[in-house]
Amino acid sequence: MRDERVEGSAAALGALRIGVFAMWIFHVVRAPLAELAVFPADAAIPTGILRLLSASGWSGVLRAEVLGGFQSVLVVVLVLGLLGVRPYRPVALAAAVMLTLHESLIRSFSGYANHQEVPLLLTAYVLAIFPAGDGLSWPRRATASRRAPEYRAALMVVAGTLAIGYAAVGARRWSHHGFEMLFAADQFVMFYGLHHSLNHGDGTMARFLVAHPQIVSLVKWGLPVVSLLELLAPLAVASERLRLWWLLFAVCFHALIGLMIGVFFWQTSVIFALTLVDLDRLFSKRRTRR
Amino acid sequence: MSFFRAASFALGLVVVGVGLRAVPHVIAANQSSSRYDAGVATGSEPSASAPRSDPRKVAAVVFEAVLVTAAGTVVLMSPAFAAPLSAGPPALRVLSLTLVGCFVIGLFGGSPRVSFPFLPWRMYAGTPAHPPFICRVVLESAEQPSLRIDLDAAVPVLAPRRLDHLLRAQVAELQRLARGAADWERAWRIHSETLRALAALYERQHPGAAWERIVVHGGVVSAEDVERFPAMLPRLWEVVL
Repeated sequence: MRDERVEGSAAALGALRIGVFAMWIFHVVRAPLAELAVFPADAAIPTGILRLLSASGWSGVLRAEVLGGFQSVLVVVLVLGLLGVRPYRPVALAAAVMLTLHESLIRSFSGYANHQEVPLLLTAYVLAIFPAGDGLSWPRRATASRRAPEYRAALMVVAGTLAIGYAAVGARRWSHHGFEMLFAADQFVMFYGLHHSLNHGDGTMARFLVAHPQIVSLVKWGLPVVSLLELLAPLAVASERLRLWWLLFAVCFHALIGLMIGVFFWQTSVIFALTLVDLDRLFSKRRTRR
Repeated sequence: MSFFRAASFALGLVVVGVGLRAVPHVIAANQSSSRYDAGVATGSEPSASAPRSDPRKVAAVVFEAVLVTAAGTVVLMSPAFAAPLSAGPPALRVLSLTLVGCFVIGLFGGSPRVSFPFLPWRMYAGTPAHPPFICRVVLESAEQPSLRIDLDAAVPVLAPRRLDHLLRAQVAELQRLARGAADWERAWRIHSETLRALAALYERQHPGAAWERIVVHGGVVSAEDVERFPAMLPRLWEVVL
């Protein structure tokens, strides 16, 4: 007799695998990497693993045909990873290494600390370590009961790591800026509002904020609350009861940030949803009904 | 995982991270003070950011370390996290905790350039001292009205905002360096080639228009300037295409 709960766990991890690889495919396919070859090589500073390259190696990497070929291979590897085809582990490891190179390459052209893709990359590492190819894979394969804790552990390692990251952001703000968040936050809100709206938009949001100081005050008072909720992120891992509430906060918070300063970490919200919602039970119920 | 083991593990990671972050400050402070002790007129005091020279900063780092250790302990000792991990094979446990460890160490001691993807997460953690510097890139020609380039749309591979960040870093460097110096010449060559590459990519997407110049506008914009924006933004320089 098949263990429905184990299959549910394997399917939940499979759903995370599909979601993460699908987001990576969207991210990689949307822009030709070969465009980087148009820019002067010394406009970039090799980042991360690419620091190991020599100067000639760096120039060799920044050729349109090399970048284009790398992008094509990466897309194929990501599609195989999404499907969970066998052998899964080498495919997932190749995907993790290639994604690290891809992101290091893009970040070499700017030291901009955009964290949008970092949780996605860390999740790809977890998917390469754990048996994420057992559930919802093509072709379909049997799940092993002895692996039940591994499926669940993978989801919790992702959720736990992200929760520590959120807590660290809140901890940083509280410890280094404390009450400054309340007393100097007008300046903070205006800075980011103007910065985003005038640099990247047409200035509508900047004019709106200048004309409506009460909105600035509202955001200012929201900042310590948000920082506190970020600090409490580990409770979402520890307590099942708090998970959905925290998830709701994370989605609203990211949507608000997206509205105010145009940075929407939707990928992080999706990863949180796939790891914190009890998909095991949902998949088990579906199978039992069948 | 017991409370003691979880707390020790989390604290150990935080201490390593804080240590990595503190090392450059301590070295800078030591070098500065040894030069001072040796009677060399450097004109510089130990770095203001050195931990031992600013007790408030030390207190903030300690408080931050306590908060992150507490957060790490809650995660590590929660049954939802610890139970499945303990029941799995030891190799997976080691790899998982190594990944979490690198992540936490990177939060404190990481550098976006060196330890990527294990880097600090400090989103909106500071109160800016000045209004923002706004930078816009515009294409011009005699035949048609000038056109502001949407950098993310023109070079999607560097979206979001990375090209904007790169250009601002180049502008800041050019403004910092003395015009005509060797460093300035090199920085100007890289900046003008970057602008030409941007124009080429834009023209590849929108063929037909013959643009003559690519112009950089930039300056500090405060809330009082918003009504006069973008007309008030100074024209910094141009590159002929």
